[in-house]
Amino acid sequence: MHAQWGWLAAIYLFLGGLGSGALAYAALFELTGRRYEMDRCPEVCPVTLVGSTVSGPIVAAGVVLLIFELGAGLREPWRIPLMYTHASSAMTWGVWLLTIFIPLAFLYGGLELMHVYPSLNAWVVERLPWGVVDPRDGTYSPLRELSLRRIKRIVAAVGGVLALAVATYTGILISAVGPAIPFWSTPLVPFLPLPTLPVLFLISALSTGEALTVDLAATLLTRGQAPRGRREHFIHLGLITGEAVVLGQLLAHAFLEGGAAAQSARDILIGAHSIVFWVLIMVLGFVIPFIGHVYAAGRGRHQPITGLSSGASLVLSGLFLRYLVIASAIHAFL
Amino acid sequence: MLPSKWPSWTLILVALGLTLLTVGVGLVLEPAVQAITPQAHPTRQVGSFPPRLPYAAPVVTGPGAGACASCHTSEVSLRGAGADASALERLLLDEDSSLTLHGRLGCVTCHDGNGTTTDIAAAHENLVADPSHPRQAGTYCVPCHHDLASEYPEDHLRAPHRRILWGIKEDQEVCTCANCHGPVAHGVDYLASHQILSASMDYCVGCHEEQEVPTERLKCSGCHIGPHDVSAAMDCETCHTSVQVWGKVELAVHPMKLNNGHANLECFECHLKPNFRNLSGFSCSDCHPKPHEFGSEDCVQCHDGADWMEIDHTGIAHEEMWEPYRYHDHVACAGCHFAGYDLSTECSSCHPPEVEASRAPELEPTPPPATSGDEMGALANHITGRLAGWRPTISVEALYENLNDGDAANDPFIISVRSREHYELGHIPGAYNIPWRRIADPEALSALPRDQQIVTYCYTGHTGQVAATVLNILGYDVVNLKFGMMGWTDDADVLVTEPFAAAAGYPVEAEANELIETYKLPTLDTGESDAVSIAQVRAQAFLADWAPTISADALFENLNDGDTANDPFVLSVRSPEHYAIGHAAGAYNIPWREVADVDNLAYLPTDTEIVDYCYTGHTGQVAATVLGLLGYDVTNLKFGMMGWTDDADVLAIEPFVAPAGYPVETEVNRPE
Repeated sequence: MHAQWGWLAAIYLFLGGLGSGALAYAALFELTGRRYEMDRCPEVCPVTLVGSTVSGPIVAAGVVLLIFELGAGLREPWRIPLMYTHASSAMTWGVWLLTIFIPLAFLYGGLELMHVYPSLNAWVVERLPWGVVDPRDGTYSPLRELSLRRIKRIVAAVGGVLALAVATYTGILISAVGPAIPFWSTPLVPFLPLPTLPVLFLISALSTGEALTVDLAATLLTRGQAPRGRREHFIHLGLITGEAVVLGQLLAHAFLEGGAAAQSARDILIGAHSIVFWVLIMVLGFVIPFIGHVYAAGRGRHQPITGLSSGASLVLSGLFLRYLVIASAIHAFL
Repeated sequence: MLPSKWPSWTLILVALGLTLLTVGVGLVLEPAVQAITPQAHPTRQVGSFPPRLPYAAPVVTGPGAGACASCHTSEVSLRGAGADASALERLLLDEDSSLTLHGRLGCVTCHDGNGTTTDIAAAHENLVADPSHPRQAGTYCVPCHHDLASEYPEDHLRAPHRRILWGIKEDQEVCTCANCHGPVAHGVDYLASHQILSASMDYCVGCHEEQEVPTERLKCSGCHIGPHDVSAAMDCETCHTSVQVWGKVELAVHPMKLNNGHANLECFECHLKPNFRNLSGFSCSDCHPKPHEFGSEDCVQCHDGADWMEIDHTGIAHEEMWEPYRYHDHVACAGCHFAGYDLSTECSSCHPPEVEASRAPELEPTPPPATSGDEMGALANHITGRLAGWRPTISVEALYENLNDGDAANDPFIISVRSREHYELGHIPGAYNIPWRRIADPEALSALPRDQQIVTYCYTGHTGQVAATVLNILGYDVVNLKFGMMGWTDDADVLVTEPFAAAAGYPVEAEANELIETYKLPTLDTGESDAVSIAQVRAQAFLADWAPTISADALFENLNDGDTANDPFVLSVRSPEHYAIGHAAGAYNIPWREVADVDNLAYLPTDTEIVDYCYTGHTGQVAATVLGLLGYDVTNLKFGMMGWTDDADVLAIEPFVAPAGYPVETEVNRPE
């Protein structure tokens, strides 16, 4: 394992991607109205329930690990506020982004729980003097002028955009290391200063987010129909394919670049990380979910076994994808 | 899938649990996978040029670790192999050292030997103990570090790597890479080693001294790139005496004498970081805004640096540079050094002989002939003679210096021409009192010495100048104190009048107005025959009720009241050059020394009030007094152009700034 960037980095990058991807999917369901399609979500929509509620804790846990890894931040916590002040630093962008995103994610989760559990809604409204019963759907609203559903839509819209930004930021964070580790800054298109990792991590985050909320959560919820049709399968197949293409581009361009980047790619394909790559990422993260979703899409209905298998394998491969990128880092040749 | 008894919210916990489980699985799975992944053994690639080291995978300690680490990270194993305490210190490595950048290369990458056996003899066969030795570095270090630089400007360091590696004599093979960079694979980070090098040079100096490196090769610039923009001829030792602590600079020499305020300055207050700006060619005006356009950028060419901010005490040896300066010491700096002036010392630069020609080159009328036999002509000619070469003012500093030089013999006879009441409030020590309106009275004149210089003073310099002008015409050696008590004392109770504060900022024009129209000269009828007597009688009569000054506000209001019928005839008595720079709208020009010339008097109206002005009010007051004695209706602009315009170029002199704050006395002095 690398001396400076270890498992801790892989975990918090994974958590950042999973949490933001889950919220992005919940927001998608909220904004497209699928959350309220009663035939698919008769009582509780597992996608929005899980996606909105776990996002905040997961991303927050990732931030805690990030702070833990920042030795100086632990030893001298008063320096942490300084992280807000370096406008040109990618780290500062992320600090601001996370500072806004995490409370918003918790708020979204709370609103979703209020929607699902009227008793919680009533408990909250009793303590909010401006809360009223929404005459349109009978739910309580913490604001007089807005229904709970409308508030959720606003929060979901903002949170969804921020979730995409957080997912992308996990890639920006390490590609910002720049030329020190050429593999991390391998461009998406050769010779253009657009790194591949933000795109790869964004797609991977959406994929793992969908795996957690749609594949796993919806399958595990026994009551009612899982909110799944062909659309979810096609989306997932698109994400898996896109992730594979971008990962292939990353490796190919790393070879084209030569030097340390090529050595990293060589390590991944045939070297020290080859088993992690071929087994834990290609098979677990691409082949199994791809076959499962193709099968489910062909059947046109919910398949519990494919949902669980592809969900678990996608989430696990998402973790190993981050690990692989971190572990294969090689400093530029001196 | 979940038990139906479980409430929906348990799904949230399940999801979080799955996330946690995923991380746990990853942490368990990864080492197991890595354990079965074939790890490349580091080997050197030979036969290629330049020789390149293939990337070596991290050397993993613990299970599956290489043979080298299995022994060299274990004290027990090393002791078992016979290592004593000193050998242990050298051979026992921290496991973490394998995680450094160089440690990940693997032992045999740099040390050769055999990394696949635990047999001590076989493992150390062909071992290279110090791969950073100059003879080995070319094989083990340079293949990667083949682009070694000799200079590292960001660290201000020179590192003559090539000379160290290949240029050292046979008997001086002392510099290995590790000497400076440390055992990079054994726990010393290569970047940190650079920082250590730049932070302290004790190690470098100590090693050089130990190896008896010739002292001439221990010059600072041998290792350091100076941060200052200095010439190559100046080595660090030129200025710095401390060779151990650069932050504590002790100057060996300084090319500029650091006196007065300069002595307390830090280096970088003048020689700005980071490039030690303009160490050579440094001029005063780089720091001190030059208050005037004339002269060199290097102030010390004129000023001695002692009290150069004091305008009237410039420390400039004008007398040595220009002998006629003694006739001009009353003129402010910019009076001669005005913009565009070439600092020529030719009189014609300021005193063109053809003044009239320049004023009215083509329409020169013929003035009426002056009759030398009448009183007017006699007095005018006399005054013109008295004004030629007369120095009308003395500065407060010069007077104070004279009074306090310890030589009473050269002290002047000082007359306060202020009122008796104000004289008693305070006056210059030793001054007598003759109010200016009575200066020509016989009893007053009888008290004045003929063999001693007289200094008159008043409130702001104007009525004192009236008195001085009269006395000068009457044949006395007299000067007026410039700015009067306003320049001498800062005691408002003694001054009793408003001092000059600021210019009104009224407009000026540069277009010359030609004197064309002529007038009949006034007629004087005193009954006296000689010019001095005529002047005395005229002065007694004229001064009795004369209003000697008009304020700038009053003049401006008159000129701009829309009634041209009451406009005065405005006369500038400044030099033609300064008149050309700018003058009050409609003003004509006759220099004050020439104002009594009958040829010039012919241009002055006798049916219109004349307002004349000069620089600060003094020479204008001379001219006004002269014209008044000659029968003209005249007054002087108070404070002259100093009170009219705020344009320093037009003013062309140093305006009044502040009183000197010299002492006064209240004891009444009576002439013998």
